[in-house]
Amino acid sequence: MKNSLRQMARTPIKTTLFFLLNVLAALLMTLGVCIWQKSSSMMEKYEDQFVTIGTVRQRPESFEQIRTWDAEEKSYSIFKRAQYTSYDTVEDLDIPGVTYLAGPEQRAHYGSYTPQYIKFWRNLYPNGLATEALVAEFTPLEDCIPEESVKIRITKVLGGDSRLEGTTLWFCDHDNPEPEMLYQDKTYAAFLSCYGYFHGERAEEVRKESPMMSLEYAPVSLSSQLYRLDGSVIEDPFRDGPEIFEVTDGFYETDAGRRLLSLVETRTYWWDMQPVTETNETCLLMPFYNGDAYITEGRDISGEEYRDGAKVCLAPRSFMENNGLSLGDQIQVQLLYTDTRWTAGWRFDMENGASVGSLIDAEGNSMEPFETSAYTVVGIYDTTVGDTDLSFRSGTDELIVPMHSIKERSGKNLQSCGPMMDATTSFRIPNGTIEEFLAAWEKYGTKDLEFTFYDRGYTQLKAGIDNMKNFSLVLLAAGVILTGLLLVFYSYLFVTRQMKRTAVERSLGMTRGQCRRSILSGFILIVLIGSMAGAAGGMHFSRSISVKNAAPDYYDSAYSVGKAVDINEVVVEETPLKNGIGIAVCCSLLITAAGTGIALMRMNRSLKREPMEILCRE
Amino acid sequence: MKKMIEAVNVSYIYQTKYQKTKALSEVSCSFERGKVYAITGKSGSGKSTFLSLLAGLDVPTEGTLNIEGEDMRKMNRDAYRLNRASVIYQAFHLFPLLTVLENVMFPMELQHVPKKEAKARAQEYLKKVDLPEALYKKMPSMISGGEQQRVAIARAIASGGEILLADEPTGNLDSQNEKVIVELLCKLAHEDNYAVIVVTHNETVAAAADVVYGMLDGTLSVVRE
Repeated sequence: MKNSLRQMARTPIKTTLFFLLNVLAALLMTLGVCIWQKSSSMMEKYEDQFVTIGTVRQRPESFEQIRTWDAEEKSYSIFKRAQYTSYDTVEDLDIPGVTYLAGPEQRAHYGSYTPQYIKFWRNLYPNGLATEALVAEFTPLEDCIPEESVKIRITKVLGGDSRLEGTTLWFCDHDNPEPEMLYQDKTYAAFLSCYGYFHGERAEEVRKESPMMSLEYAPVSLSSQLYRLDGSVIEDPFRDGPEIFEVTDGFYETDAGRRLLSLVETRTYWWDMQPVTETNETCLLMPFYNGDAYITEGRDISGEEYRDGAKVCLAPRSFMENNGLSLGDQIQVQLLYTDTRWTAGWRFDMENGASVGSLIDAEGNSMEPFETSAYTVVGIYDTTVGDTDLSFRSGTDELIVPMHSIKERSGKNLQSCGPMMDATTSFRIPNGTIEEFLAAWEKYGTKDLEFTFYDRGYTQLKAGIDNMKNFSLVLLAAGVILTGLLLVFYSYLFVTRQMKRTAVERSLGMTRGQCRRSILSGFILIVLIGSMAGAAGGMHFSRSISVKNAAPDYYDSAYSVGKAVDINEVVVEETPLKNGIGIAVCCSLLITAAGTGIALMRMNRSLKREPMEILCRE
Repeated sequence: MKKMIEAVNVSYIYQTKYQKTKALSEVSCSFERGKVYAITGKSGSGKSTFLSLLAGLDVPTEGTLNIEGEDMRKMNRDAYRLNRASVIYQAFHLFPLLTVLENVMFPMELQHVPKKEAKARAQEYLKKVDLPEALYKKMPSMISGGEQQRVAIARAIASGGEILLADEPTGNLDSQNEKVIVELLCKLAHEDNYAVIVVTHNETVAAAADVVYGMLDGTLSVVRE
């Protein structure tokens, strides 16, 4: 080896250049591998913190124009309503090549009528509805046609604020283009709803006199609002029928009378209604996914509980506190209606209260609970104000339960029914598979569904990290190519071109093994030292290269059990290099092994030639 | 005198994938110490092949080559080359990256002679070939062809063997240097008792030899004895 090194040392430029190029090649290779490793670890570390969900919306096929008479404007108001021939189902989302981690599911929310519990709005207004709606008997102060605001006297409050009895109110059959005459000597009954403000010729004068007393009441339909799952309406004789009824003897024995009494009974149900939302995974619910709702006590419903349909639930803190409940307690649930169109957030708005609908059936009877059970609270969640779209918010007092825990899922007392919409239909897919999903959908799916994906910046982060990976691959490839070229070229210089030296050494009595050692030892030593130095340098540099700089520092957080602080952010921190020394050693050994192999191959080829053949040629 | 080398019906066939070439055909001859032998012949006649066999770099395809009665096939040929036979080439073939002195020390390093002793002996051999001391630390490329060949001879005798094989040793030299080298080889044979075998087609070299063999198409014949 000494002899070999001595001879190499006497060609310092060639040897130094070889050494330096070796350092560079090893540096590039190691740097490439280290950055790849760092990028992979970072992706691995943060992979679990990201959740990719998709929401589904069925495109309407057309829009139907709805005309509503507006007595104030004396004209029809025109609204557009989406039209669907049929509703797609989640089964339509079952296409080849798509893996779902959860769902797809079209969620319903249920109304649980449990007067034994204090609800948010009931807690705020213990006496229930004030003046907004009432079922009452009234007489007009004079004979009139209520095509504009007319004065009526409330003679009897059947349901609602009894303080209104004996008072006069403004009344108008607002939506009816051809209202019938009301007579001052007759008594009428109707479900009255506060509609707006007085209108008519004296509007300005009346408002000035008494702004609070200028509210106008209008009659509400006594029809039920029940649907079948296919979206068709269950027929009701009172649909588009009269809304104002003359009270005569035996009126409350008639259909209309009984309906009014049913409405009196059920109108307060809303104040004791608790929304119950079914799902297969908490993160599929947008308030939770967005971080507007977050578990602060207890735990999430487990995957097993979701699968098995366990009677467990997540409950909001306000509800738990209002009712003196704590984690592990049971909540009674009595499902009264089903709604597959609107979310609990939309119907039970935290700011404005419940969006009421009729809770009577097509025969005019009060709805009865169709499923009763008790759910154990495993997690308590808090909420923030939430999304501007009510559908994406949590509902007041909303309970979250496993979908399979509800036995009666066939649309009992279906209050509202609609197609798959973003807020009600979602699924979870593996991170980074949005493109694959869309490609599969393009191939096998239908054209009338639209998807919106939420991945909390995973795609962005992954793109950044993939860039780093590509960069590392370029470095690695450059290192490998440089190493290859270097070893091939320099082994030619240091081995093949030394064929004569080998021949002389052989003729001087060196064995083949000694010749190999004589030629290769210096070469291999330089490769080894050069590659070790380069690998060490590569490892060092890789520590100062920041993978996280390839992408923004902050991302929306994944849905998680945690506190509100930083709930919407994942702080991506630099991942330390793992096994850097191992990588460096492997790279340098790999280069040395390759160098040894190539040089040995060349050496053996040289040794195959007869020394005399080489030496006597000149 | 005892035969140093004896070739008995030596044949050698170069075999490639597609053809066989008989380079030597039943060559029989012998070489003794203290004499200079010249093997003459045209290029491609088999001279260098024969020299290669004599140097122990290969073994005959047929026949036997005995070194002091011992069959070359049964010998450790690496040891034979290291300790007993040395080759001098037309192109000198010194190690270009070693100094003159290091070149001469090289065979002794292989024989594990201590460095100090090897250096002293190398200086002694260089003196023997009349190389000025000023050139000892020069690189081969910095000295003349005649000087290089003298270094090659010094390296050959440094191995301590008794057989000197030379392949056209004066081929690259002018007439003055040619004369010096021929005299040196003769001196080594006649005074130091080496068996000197020179492959040449140089008349002067052949004339200085004690025995001259002629090689023609792989067969050897005595030209002058």
